[in-house]
Amino acid sequence: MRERPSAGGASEARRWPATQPKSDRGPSGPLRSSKSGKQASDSYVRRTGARLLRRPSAVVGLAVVAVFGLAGLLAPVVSPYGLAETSSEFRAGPSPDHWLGTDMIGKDTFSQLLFGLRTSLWASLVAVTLAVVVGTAIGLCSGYFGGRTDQVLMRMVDAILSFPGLLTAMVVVGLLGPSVLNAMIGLSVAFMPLFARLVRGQVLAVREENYVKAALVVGAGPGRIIRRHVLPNVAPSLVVQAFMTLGFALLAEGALAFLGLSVRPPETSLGSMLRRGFGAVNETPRLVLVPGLAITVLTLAFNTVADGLRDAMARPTAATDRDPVEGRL
Amino acid sequence: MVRVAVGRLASAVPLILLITLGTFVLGQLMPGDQAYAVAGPDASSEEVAQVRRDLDLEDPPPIRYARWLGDAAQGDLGVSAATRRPVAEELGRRWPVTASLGIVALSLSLALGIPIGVAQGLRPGSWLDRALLALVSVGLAAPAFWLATLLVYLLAVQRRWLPALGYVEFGESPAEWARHILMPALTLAVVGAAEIARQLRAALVGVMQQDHIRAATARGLSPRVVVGKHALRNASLPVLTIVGLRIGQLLAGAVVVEEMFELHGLGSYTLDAILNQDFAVVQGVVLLTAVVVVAANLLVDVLYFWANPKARPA
Repeated sequence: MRERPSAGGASEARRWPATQPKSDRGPSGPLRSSKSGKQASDSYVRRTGARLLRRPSAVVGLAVVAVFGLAGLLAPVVSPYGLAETSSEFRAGPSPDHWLGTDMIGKDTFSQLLFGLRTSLWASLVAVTLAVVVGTAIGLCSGYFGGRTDQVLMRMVDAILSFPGLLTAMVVVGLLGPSVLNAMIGLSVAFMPLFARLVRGQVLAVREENYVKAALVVGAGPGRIIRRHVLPNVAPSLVVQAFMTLGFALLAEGALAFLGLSVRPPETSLGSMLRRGFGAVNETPRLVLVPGLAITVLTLAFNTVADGLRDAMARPTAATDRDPVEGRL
Repeated sequence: MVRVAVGRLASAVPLILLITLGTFVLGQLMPGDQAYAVAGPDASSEEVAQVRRDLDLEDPPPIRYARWLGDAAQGDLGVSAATRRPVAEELGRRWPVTASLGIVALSLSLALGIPIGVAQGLRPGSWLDRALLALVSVGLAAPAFWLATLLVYLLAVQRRWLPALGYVEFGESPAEWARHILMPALTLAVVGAAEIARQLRAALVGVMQQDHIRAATARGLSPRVVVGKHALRNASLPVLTIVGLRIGQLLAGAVVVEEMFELHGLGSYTLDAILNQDFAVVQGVVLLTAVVVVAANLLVDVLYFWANPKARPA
């Protein structure tokens, strides 16, 4: 970040790059001054939340996310059997002892599902968080400093964005070696450009607003402008995009784990569970059905919440049938 | 239009260079000494040195990248560390499998996605729209490797309608080729179809409210002409974008699907390279993917101008 300027608003104002946003979408979300401070943003959050809760599909989505999230979080406490614990019953059907039966080496499928959920959700969450943080930082630098910085950063972002996301993650994992950590890094590299572009577009839109110019005249530094004016404006679209990306992350981590590029045994994730079940699909399709359904339902829930949030945040005039950012996995 | 195409190509070259450079830099972070890994644990120091010479690992990275680039420009992508075979030759041998998989998958996506999107877009809010919307949402959320397993179970295990794995060349037997390609292609087509239906629905809902559609209806044109000639052409632009994006994504999807159906195409080559940390192959696949993506974008741009004369440069 730049040093806070000593004085003089006019020279500060000129440092905004003069280029106009070209291909970026215009402002989305509540483009408004945060002059009125915390109160206004609180009531915005409350209003959006209320509108979200009026949508049955979003409520169901939120409930599913909450249940699965809790199940993953509490897996070590609530799961009836341990992660590596095996019983003498192989490929047993559902019973009071084993709610979802057992797999080919006698592991309890329900317990495996809980631990798998835990790993998959954790990996997706870390990957998306990393992507949001790095992407936001790059987007802010790019939009704020403009010029050469903007060009170099956006070239890199476009290069990653032009490459299919799952393949980006695979290549990164391939070069760094298969592990959950590297899978998370690979996924965050693939997702980062979405957030960088989103934030950059928002910065370019906000800097034309009169209240930002006014803030510059008053002598506000870059830190204050970003904190008070840019971030509040970009936050809604970031949240929607993050939820959307969580869905992709879950699918992509599943694919990586399925291919043996993520977790190593005895650790398990939904994808590696499916992989093990795939070998025995002729005899026990249940072992494939259970983790696959879990991924599908959870991804569906993330997407539904993202859709609901986007509609709840949209201003009445905005088209509601669009993706926040194009370019998906 | 030719000028636009040339301009796009010129801007694509630095993009491809940047992607290969990025891969190369990332490859330098690869843990361990590649020569030791290839030569095996029992290799003598002479053998390791020999491998190092064979794989061109002696020079500093910038020189190696420059040499790789020079060779690549002449069609030489180096040798695979695992098989010691030329990467370019192997890519040439394998691409027909992945290409036929991709083309069939894309055609299926369009064949499924367009009718669904049109049915939804013409009657938004109807029960049919809602039912299809649920279907599309599931299609977007279901992982390909799961769908593939279900398809194998239903169509190859339960009923022995289709072979569960393998590939037959089109030239050998078109019917067998179709039987072998159908399930993997369908697996890859589902996400694309859902994506296309979703975008087409949104675009159609918007277009159908426009004045020129109302005017065409008022003039007494039949619904078939109004939708087919006026609305669909306008609503086709987002579909084109999706098709362009899908082409690159199919290459990624092929990695999963080829592994499951034991097709020996680019995807399984990529996966082997990634699991073996075979750098020359990874770099070659990345280059090929970048070229395919750029070509797909160019194609989409040209189609854009065809569908939307307003976007044509004066």
